[in-house]
Amino acid sequence: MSGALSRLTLLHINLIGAGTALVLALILFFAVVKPKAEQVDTVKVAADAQEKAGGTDQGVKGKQTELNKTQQEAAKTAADWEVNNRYYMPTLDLNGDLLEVYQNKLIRIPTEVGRFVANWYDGQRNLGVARLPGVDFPVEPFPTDPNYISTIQYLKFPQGNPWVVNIEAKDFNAAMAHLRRFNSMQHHGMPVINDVTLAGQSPNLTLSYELALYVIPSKPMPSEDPIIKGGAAAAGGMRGGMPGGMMGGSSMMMGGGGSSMMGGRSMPSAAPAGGRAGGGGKAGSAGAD
Amino acid sequence: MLRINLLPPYIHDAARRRQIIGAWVAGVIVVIALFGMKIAAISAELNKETERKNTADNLKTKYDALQGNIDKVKKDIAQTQEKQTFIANAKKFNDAWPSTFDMVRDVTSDQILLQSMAADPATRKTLTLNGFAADELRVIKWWMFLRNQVNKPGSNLDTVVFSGLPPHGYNPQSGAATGGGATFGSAMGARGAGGNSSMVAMMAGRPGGPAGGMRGGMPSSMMSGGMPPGMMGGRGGMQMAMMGGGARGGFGAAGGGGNETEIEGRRGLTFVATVTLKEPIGGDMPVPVWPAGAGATTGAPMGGGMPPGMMGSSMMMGGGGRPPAAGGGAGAVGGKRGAKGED
Repeated sequence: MSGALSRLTLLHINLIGAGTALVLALILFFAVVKPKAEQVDTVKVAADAQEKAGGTDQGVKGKQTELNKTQQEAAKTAADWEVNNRYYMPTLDLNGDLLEVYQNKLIRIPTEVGRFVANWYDGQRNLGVARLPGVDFPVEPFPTDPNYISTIQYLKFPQGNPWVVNIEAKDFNAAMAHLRRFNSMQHHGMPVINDVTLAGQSPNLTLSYELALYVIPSKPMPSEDPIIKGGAAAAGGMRGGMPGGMMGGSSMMMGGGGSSMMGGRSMPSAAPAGGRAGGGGKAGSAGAD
Repeated sequence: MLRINLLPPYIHDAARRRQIIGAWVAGVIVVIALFGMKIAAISAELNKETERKNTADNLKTKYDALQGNIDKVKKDIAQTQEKQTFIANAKKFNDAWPSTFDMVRDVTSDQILLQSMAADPATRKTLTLNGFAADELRVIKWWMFLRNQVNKPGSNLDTVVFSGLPPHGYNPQSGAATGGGATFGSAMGARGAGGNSSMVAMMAGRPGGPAGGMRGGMPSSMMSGGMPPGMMGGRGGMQMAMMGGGARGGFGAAGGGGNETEIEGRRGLTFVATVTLKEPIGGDMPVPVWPAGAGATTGAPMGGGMPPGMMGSSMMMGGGGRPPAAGGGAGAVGGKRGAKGED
């Protein structure tokens, strides 16, 4: 060994020393330092991205605040809707035996609605408005398949195009007060008027417009009855769009405030459905229209 | 004293060689140590960033969970919100009609008798008013007034166009002015003390008394029903400013000799005013329907009764007054018309 060392010159020793140091440095740098540095950068980028996407205390607190606010708004919306629902919408209680509900409630609804609207107008005679002769509010019949009750998602009266209403008003103020009265029509759906025209001279002003009622049920409809499925096809009934059962119980068409012209037209008590006969049959069909 | 080393160089080479080797070994150790320190620093930073990332991950998980809850709440309340929006829109839409009619009433002159008012059903931005006035001057004055209303703050009027005015020509052959307007206004004379006030009453809707007492100046007699007032009387004492403005009113082209007619025994002319609104009736929303987006129904409306859209200058609905007599020829209208308060 010493012999070998003795043969190394200073140049050799310097070269060997420098080479060793350099190689070690390179190995340490490329094998350890650089990968670790890259790893640090990767983790740093990932951490920044998470923080930017909300992964901070501030972000979480802000989101919690937003959740609280959203929940409060949702509760308010639900409460406000409940108020409007009770004010404008009827109580659609169509649960029960489909045949019985069909016979004792559903088929009576067109008549109830048509008469209610007519009475609502007639009750405003002492307020200076009266519907002109010939102005009525026909409502198309429901399909004769009781299973259609299960498809009801909303109701519109009339089913197709709106009613055209022509009324006579004794003066301009009475006509305008009549128009403003629609927003206080209770328990029979939300009325919407459109295309209003005014003509003539007091005390025979003529007011014309279109009117439709929209009912949004608050309770789900019962499921269809497969045993009676495949009954008579409906005429033009749009799924969910057909004028369907509007009520149940005597509280349905009872006037709330508003024009208070709806009298106590309570629904007759349900007669027992007649077995599986479709639409009527031997079921007690009291008051069928 | 000079030191002389007579030893051969190879004697010291070994020691020197060992020193140099030792120096390089130390150098290598230093390099290793330096790199070690560097690696330690990087490792510390790595640990720190890893911890930061873990914290961010946990917080992001909580953030996402909260966002999920928010989305769920919104989804659960979405349909209720739609129903609520429908009700709110329907109420606003229903109220917009009487509000618009009130607005027209508030800007209607007491010298004008409006016979009908209707809105364009497609856009709800255009109102068509059929009116009657004793003479063309009154019509023009009202037109000017409406034009000046356009630029007033809060006004929903956009443009005002009148049509049905009588043309005014000159026929050198006959040497007389043609058209229906020349003899109209000039026939209006001062009303005597006992003059017939029914014309004014019809126009203003009140028995010649002072205006006022009602919001917008609606003539009280419109509610009396005892006299043949107009459909709308407008505000009493309304200034018929003749000043020009930046409005875009324009004279409508009338054909023939104007639309002369007679109401309650008083002659005058009918005209049509087409008013466009800046905001449509009920706002920019479509007619509210449920479910939302179902679209308005079209086609023949259901229900008995007369069809809507009673328009036309000759339409006189109701039997409160006599239907207008057929107008005579141009220039045939004349006679004194006592019009109290006329200017």
